[in-house]
Amino acid sequence: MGEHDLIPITGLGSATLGTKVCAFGVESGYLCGNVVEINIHAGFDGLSKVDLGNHGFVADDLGGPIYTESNIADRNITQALGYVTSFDNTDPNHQFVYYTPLEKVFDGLSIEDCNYALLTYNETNAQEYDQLIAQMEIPPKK
Amino acid sequence: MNNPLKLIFIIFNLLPSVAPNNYSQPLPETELQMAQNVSQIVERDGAIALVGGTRVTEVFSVKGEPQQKELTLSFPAVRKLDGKKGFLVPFSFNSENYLVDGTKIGGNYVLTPAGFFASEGIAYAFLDIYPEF
Repeated sequence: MGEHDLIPITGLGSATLGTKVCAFGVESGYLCGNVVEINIHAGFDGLSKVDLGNHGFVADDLGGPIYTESNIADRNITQALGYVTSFDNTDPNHQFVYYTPLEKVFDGLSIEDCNYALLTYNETNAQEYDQLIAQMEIPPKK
Repeated sequence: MNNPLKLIFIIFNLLPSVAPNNYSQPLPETELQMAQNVSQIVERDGAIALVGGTRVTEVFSVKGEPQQKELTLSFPAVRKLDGKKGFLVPFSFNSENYLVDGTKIGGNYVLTPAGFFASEGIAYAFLDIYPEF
């Protein structure tokens, strides 16, 4: 990823165990890893834990976006997952980042009739991308 | 109205937007993207643009002494009630001063999520962005 690369956010995603996710922090930059635990407590309840290998995040990276990335027609798109909540760099070979799922944030922000939602790139494009993703998920004919 | 294509076009535009789920809302008129390695306010097409992933400085006070903390701006969000756009931002201290590259980007209305406690770690908030961004 070069400087000032922009990746469109097409929607809210979800991750399960083993899902490859990526994250960005202003200090450590762009890091990816696999989800190794979900719905755990690490300061907050309901966090997901990602193994980043031998690269980890630092304090300035807190708050950074965590997302899944797809490549469709030579274009990267992302689905938002959550934000960097904490990290654990105790093991240099398995440095972990914890993220809070965005659903929890939006639930927490919602007060009576005042609700919040993620903004996505563009309705037309998002639908187009969703269709492309759906097509990719259809098994090929034998 | 003698042009059926025009009629179809008008009907299409009157249809309300359907969000993919309760937590996301497409923004047709604005390019809303997430940046990598962005630490400055950038100008695009003559307008100042803020994107997720931007370095943000939170300025707050501890016992009267000004302090600051570097954090990362996260995903863009919208308040459904009035369509106000903003960003999800880390909220670790009681501050309404969020700066990007030395410029205050907003902070008149920072709402922390219910049930989140900063003492347990980093919490989150919705940050109203000034209209010029």
